[in-house]
Amino acid sequence: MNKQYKFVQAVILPVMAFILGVLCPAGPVLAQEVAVGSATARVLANIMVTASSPLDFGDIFQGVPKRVANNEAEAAVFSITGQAGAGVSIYLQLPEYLSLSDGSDRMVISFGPTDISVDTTGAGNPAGMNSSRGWQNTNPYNLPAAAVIGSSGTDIYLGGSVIPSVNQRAGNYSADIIITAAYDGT
Amino acid sequence: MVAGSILLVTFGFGSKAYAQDIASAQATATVQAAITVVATQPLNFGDVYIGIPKAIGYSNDDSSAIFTITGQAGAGINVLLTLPEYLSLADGSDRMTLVFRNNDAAVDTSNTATPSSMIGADGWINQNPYNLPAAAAIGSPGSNTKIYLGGKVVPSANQKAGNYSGDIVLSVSYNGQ
Repeated sequence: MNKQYKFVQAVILPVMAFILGVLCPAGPVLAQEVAVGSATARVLANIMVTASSPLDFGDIFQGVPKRVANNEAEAAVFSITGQAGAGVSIYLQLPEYLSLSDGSDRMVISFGPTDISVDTTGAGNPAGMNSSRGWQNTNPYNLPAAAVIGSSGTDIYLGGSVIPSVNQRAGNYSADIIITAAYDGT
Repeated sequence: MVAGSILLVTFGFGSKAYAQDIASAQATATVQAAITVVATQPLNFGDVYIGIPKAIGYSNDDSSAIFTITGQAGAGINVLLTLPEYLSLADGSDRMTLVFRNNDAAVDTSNTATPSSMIGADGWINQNPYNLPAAAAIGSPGSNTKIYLGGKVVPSANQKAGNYSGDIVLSVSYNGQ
């Protein structure tokens, strides 16, 4: 038994090791290093637009035009909220007429080159608007390209004029004013 | 009588004595400097607006990802980037697509260039981050090589607001060249 064990130890094992070494050569072990970096981004708050107050001309008399300035309480107010300081593109779709609900008559509405103000203080108060709060008395068809969302939001104050005809039908007239606001990446 | 003497009797078999000389040679090896990799700067897209894709080029000094590889100057290396497909909110409630274009990486072996100043002579520019150059090596002088990486995020129109992140893994090994 002892002789057999010595034979295995002295002969068999080295031969087996040689065979395995030939058939299964060990490849080189290469040093490897790994580092983990990161990619980061901050997605800004979603932009939201609210029609806070309508442009209300109140009582109108046939044949007598009426104007509401953008700093009056009857001015339309739109509120824009989102990421403070982010640049926004603002576009207004303005009607050319107000109409009776049954469509039987319509009344001209017009917007002049100073009928809008952009207030970046978020005050929501047309009467308190001044030039230090943003852009005052500017063109509603060409809003400022540098408009931004204020820290408390940005408000749009819109005035305009209605021009009733001498035979304007009595009744309640209305129309839609649509505002579109989007981040511009600035 | 033999006193203090030692009689030596030698037995020999009558074999020949050959002239002999001895020489010694050496077995030598040079262990290369250990390779190390550090994520020096993250790929930072900064503020991203909902619905507006944003790209950062590898040549942006402040925002591109930078990995620094150090080791044996001149030694060939295999470099593999494992790139995420998305950035995610920490709570996992939303994710944002991240893409890497075929020119979003650069390999700088110059030791002196920056992402914005790097030119072709400094290594490899405008490389595919999914297929970095096989001939990459540890730069000399300086014994380091830098990887610059850009990318592009594509936020959806209803992307949740918040801070998004994802891991970029760089694996480097000597290739024996």
